[in-house]
Amino acid sequence: MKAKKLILALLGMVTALSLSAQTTIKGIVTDESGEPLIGAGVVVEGTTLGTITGVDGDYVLTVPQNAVNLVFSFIGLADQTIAINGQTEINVVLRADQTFLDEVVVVGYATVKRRDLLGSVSSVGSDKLAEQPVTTVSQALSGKMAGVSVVTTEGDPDADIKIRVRGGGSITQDSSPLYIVDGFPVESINDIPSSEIASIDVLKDAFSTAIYGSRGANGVVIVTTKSAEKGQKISVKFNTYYGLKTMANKNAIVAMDAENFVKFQYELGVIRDNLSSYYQPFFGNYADIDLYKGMATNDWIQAVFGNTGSTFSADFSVSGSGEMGNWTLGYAHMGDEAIMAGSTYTRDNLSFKGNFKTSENTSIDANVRYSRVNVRGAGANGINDTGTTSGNGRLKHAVSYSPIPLVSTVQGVDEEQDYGDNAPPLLSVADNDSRRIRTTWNANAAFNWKIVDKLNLKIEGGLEKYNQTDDRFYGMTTYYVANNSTDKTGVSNQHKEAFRTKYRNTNTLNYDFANVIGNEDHNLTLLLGEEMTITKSNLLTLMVDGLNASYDAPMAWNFLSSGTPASTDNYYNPDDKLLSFFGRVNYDYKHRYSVGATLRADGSSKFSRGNRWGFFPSAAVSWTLSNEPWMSGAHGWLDQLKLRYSFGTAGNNNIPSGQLVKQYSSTVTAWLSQSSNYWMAGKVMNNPDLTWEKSYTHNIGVDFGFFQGRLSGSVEVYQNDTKDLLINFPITGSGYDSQYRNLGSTRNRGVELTLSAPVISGKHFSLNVGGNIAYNQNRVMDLGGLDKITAQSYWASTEIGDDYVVEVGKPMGNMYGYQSDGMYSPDDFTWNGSKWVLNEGVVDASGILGASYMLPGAPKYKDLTGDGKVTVADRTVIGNASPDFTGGFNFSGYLYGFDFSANFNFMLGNQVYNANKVEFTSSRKFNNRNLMDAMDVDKRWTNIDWATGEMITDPDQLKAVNAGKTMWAPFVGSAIFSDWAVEDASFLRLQSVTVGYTLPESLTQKVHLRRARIYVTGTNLFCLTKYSGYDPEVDTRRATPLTPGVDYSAYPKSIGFVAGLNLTF
Amino acid sequence: MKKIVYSILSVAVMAFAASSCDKFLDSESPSAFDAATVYANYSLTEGTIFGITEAFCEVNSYRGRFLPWYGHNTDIEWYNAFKKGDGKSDISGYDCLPNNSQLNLSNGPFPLMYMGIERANLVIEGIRAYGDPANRPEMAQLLGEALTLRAMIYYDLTKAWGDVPARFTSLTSETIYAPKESRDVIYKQILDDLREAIPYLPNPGANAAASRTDRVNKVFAEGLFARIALMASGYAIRPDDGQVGTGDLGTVRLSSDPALQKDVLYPEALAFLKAAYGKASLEADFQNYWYKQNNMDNLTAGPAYETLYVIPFGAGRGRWNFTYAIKSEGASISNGVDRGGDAGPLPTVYFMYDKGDQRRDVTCVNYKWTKDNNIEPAGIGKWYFGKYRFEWMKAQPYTGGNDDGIKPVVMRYADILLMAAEIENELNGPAEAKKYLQEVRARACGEDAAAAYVAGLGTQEAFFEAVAKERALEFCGEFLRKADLIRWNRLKTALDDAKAQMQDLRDLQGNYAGLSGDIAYALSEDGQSMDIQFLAPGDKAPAGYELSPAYVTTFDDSKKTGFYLERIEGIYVGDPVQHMFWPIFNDTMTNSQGYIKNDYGYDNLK
Repeated sequence: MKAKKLILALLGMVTALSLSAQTTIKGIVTDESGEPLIGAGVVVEGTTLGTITGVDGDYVLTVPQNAVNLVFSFIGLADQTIAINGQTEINVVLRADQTFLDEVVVVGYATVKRRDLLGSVSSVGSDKLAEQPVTTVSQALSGKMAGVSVVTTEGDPDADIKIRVRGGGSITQDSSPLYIVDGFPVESINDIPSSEIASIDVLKDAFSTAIYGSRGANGVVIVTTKSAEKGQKISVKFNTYYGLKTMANKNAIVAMDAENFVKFQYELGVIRDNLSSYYQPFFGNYADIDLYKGMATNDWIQAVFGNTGSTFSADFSVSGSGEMGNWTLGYAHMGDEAIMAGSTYTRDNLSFKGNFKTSENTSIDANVRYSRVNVRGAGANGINDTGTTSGNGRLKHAVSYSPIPLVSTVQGVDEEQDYGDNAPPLLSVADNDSRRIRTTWNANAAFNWKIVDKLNLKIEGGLEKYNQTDDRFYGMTTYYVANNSTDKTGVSNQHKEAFRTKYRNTNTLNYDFANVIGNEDHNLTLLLGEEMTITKSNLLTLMVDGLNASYDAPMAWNFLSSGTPASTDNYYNPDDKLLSFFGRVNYDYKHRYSVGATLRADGSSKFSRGNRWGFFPSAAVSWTLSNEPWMSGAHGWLDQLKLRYSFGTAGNNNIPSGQLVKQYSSTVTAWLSQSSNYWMAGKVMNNPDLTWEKSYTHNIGVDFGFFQGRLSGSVEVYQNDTKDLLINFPITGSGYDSQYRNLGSTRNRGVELTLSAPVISGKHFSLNVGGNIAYNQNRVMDLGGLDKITAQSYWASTEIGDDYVVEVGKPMGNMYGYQSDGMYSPDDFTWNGSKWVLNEGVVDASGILGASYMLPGAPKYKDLTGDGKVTVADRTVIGNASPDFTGGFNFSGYLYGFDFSANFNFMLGNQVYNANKVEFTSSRKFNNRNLMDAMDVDKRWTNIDWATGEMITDPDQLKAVNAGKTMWAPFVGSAIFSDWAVEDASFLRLQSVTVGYTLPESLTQKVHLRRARIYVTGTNLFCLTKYSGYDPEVDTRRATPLTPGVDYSAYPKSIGFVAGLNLTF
Repeated sequence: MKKIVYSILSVAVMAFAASSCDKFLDSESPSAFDAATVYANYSLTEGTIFGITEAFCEVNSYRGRFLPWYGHNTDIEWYNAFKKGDGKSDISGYDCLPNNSQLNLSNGPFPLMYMGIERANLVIEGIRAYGDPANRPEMAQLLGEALTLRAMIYYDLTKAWGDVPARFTSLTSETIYAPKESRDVIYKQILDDLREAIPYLPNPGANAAASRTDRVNKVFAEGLFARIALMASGYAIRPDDGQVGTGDLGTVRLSSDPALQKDVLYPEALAFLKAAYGKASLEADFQNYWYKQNNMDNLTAGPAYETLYVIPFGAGRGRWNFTYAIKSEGASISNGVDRGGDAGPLPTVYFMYDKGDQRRDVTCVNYKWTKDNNIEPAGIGKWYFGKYRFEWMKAQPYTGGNDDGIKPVVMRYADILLMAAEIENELNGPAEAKKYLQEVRARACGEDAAAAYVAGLGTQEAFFEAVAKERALEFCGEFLRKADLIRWNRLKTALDDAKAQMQDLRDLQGNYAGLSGDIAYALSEDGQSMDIQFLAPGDKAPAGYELSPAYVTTFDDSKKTGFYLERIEGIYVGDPVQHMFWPIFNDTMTNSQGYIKNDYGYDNLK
């Protein structure tokens, strides 16, 4: 109480002091066309003192005697700073914010204007993010920034979104960039609503990232959340939208109808020479096959993914500013009913951000964010059923499951992967239900102290509490219940809780040498800092078996106590600690020549003493040609021309903690008769010699601006070498599965171009065009003496074997398999009276097809070794998942009250491994599974005379029956990966189109609205591609980064329409 | 002033930070212990022993691959689901290639056996370093257990692959890659290990751990020594000395290592077997032994029990009956699911037994369970191991899943006796050896018949042949036969003889000339089994029996039914001598970065 009084008294004194010497300034703020700007901000620079303009664009502001400059701002227009110099009337014309060179860019621990940048940074502002109503911010970034590729791996509402900066350097480790939100390092930015974000800056070259040292090697994504609007005492914003969506490109995969399904089963039975067990018990005698013609079928794809989804989003924020400081308080809600049965997503966010002036030389920043995400549904490949490596995507069930009711499909099953893999699709969705609730609290505070003029100290502290609860239900049709459960008579539930607490303390000291030098030609600034982060985490896992078999998922979650606890584990990870010291110095002469240098030293607890300190220096120079006196003649058309070069190193310690020493921990098991747990030292071998992965980047950039901002942009050329890669190296057969090692190096080289062009701008109309394109080339330079590293995507369990290979001198993401050679013709065989015998000199693929499937019409593969047989030795590189070019472009503008925007993104030269196509056109070892309609009997090769049901043994008759067919027969012993399944997945996508209308101010003023806008948006309206699957932007086998670009049973994406409303009071 | 204070303060803070940095940055999991803590503590060390056996239970380890696939085909056991060119038939048919669809796995038996070995190496080193086994007998027992388990895994590795890498110390970054080593080096080490382990281990029933068959006891270790000694000094295909891992074709021969000769190893093995004699017993009734095994009642070890060691699967783990039980096409005993019967005895085994030998009807079963819970004849081509029956799983009925909880027997006392008989006969002739054979025989055929039988075995050769046959009769379905045939250098002759015998049976000639081809069958009183009688020409079905005419002679080679030729020929498709061992599979070769190469004519990766 006393303290409060004291503060009030002090404040009174301060106010009294400032009141004693004040002047009043007035004026009118207009736009270029002379229209008055209503609601423009007018603020005394360096204070929070300000006002907003009225209906006529007029303002009156009382300013203290010592005020130097006034800052005028208006949304969408460039800020202007005008020196007061004793004037009492200041009229200002605000111009469109057309030069992207004037953007403020966030670099490590500071901000600079883009025109003063030394390194390579891509940025997106809130206007671009807000345009597109998306579930997550990452989605909105797609195609917006040169060299930043954003891949939404699947269509589910909580899908992984892979962000890669300049290709990414790691081989086995996640190449995700470091995410920093308001200075705090976080794991993901997906739980932040786009309405709360002011800007996103991506640091790409090592000069920019080196200041972040650790994990900077794969780029740094810096998110800045919104602060209060300047000059507004109170501002209230409300945005909402509602939208509907349906499955996109739904005709890409269509299952066969009853007749074709039954004929497929029949031919399979004939080829396997066992109609009595493969065909007759299910479908009866051949004589009755006509019964299936035209029989009604279940469209399981439609049943599972055919829902019309809906999205509702509403966010609300109040912000204010005054002499004491400014603050903003926001709440956002998003609810999403996805297209898959039972799949939902909701998110609630609460945020507070404030800046308070505590004295003339001190201020406090405070920032608290809360988010809660609830994801329901059987989900996508991300949630695997225990025990099967072939994934748990729902699509495969929907296509493969019998389209007509069969007597029994579980009878006679003896392959492990059949459990949970061929259950009725809707039942299977219900039996694999899951719920994920993620809550995050993030609180940051900073104390700013201007120790003396130009010397600022900032002490920041932050805390993040993260908790993710996963409930995974296992119904009666799942592999887990059939095999692993301790009580197979009931259903089971796995309950997992992941806890993570992260602390951060950062202390930085900034000094601007302006006063010391006393010469405006020289600018020298210095940053020194120290930072410490500690992450503590643990994972609690409970398995409860034997819940009542009649329970559905919510009942299992609510009545967990009615089952039998099978296992409990609570594992505490070693703390992940990072201690850093860093500094940066920038010098420029007459805004023409700049040099900068940074150094960061990071100590990580993930490495042992002696290896744990990494030093990451970098340096950059720039020359602004346009500021040279001899270039003054070009000022009519040239705004800016700047050359930049930087070189630097950044590090990466992106491996799990605790790899250094052998540590024994206990593991729960139901597999042993002796005990319910055992002790072991892990399946990943320790390695005491681990140290930092380092990347070395050269970056040359040219920034340019022409014709008073009509065209501006930049070109970047880079080479990024990553060395001592941290690789999770497979060593099976030695005693462990793998070991983390520093091994080998990779190189990414590329070119990036960013352009921005306000083509037309006028009072009532404008058109802006922007775009970017990036080329990246990736090479593995060295694998530490090894020839190659192979990897399996495991989508077909172990049938396919290695289907990816990393080799020295070749890019990462190389797909490895056979070369397709059409199909066998009757001329390749001779009928010997009882079977087809392969002719001399014809390549024999029975080794991979299975001997009984070697028939006319079987798929044929090239024999590269020339030994007359197709064997594993005939595999070669047949595709690559990495794109050559990525980018995007957008149009935006306005026409009277209407505004519009369209965003496109594209990738060129990337290939997709279409595993769906293999799975849905191959019998493999299964029976009673359906295929896609490409395998309809009249489209593919058949060896059956459908008039009699007998196998055709006459070559001429076979040729006549199959005349003109190019699709081989689906009969193979196991899945085979060939270049037929590798498809060019280049695409151009219209991500979104928005048309909005802002109500005239004359109308809105009457209800005290500053702005009211309604809009409609269409998302994912079209995707031009040759790719035959659902969507070319796909990545489903994400257990290791070695297997990118597999389209296996992905959750399909959707097309949506949204209508929304933005209100500002 | 303020500035100076701040500068001093900040320098002080930084200096302090730098000096205590290393301490600050050391980080260990609170949920983990280091080796010094673990191996000084008895119960934690015991937990690491369970870590070794856990390696048996992983999906594609002993559980899903090694136990279901090692050991057939032989002259007494074969794969029932023969399909030419199928990856599964390739394994049984000696045509298993490095890309075999069942075994070429990164989590297959080979990598997981080495996982078990690494865990055992850590336990052995840890107890030696921190457990004070010289003064703590309870720790010495655990050391003995770890040494024995490691020896057992190496025995299984060399049995399946011949020469494999020798890893007897825990891995370091430098020793991750190792080429194949001559199996002689491994044999000598594991024999030494057992010499050390045996004194540490108590006899069955002597203390709590030794009273369980899922824990190692002295008699098991002694028996394992004899088993390894027999294999090490026996025949097998071996690359020329010094040529292991060079792509050598190999020849069938004995080891040239003087320490691995019969005259060195047999006396020692016999001494161990004699020491083991009487420390366990045969279960009085052969059928009851197997009933208890199926009924989860084989976990007790002691002087009165026969089982010495089992694979320690938990109640919901293991695929033994799932794989080998009498076929159920979906009867309620297998919970409505088609299970069992993947392999079975050759039809000819039934005829090898003497009249009145109890073991015949326990071991050889020619009926199956149908979906509607009935028993019916399975056809002459498909026989099942009657030692394994779903209907005997009373305490814990089989639920139809992929795991059944059956704990496969690794060694039982009968093997101690028959190994003693074989070695004693080899060293000293049949005189002293007879009592061991007679003891086994007596349970099966009665004391008098056994005594008479044994008395008739006059020569060393005759006695050996009797032991060789007795091992077939006693252990059919326990998959000891393949290793026996290899060490006796009889694999191919035995398989050829089996093919010929099957032809004879098909044609009702030779040993089967007295049969009509008809059978008579009748359900037992309890409805749980079926008696099948092979009739002689002119015989009528006894009262209460149904007649099934031409049971043996009804076959159709083109339709692949009955006793069809392709299947008889499929006993081996590849060369059983050249391919008596499995190849190292591609995945393992790839991950060995070129260190491991195949011998015996198998392909190597490019």
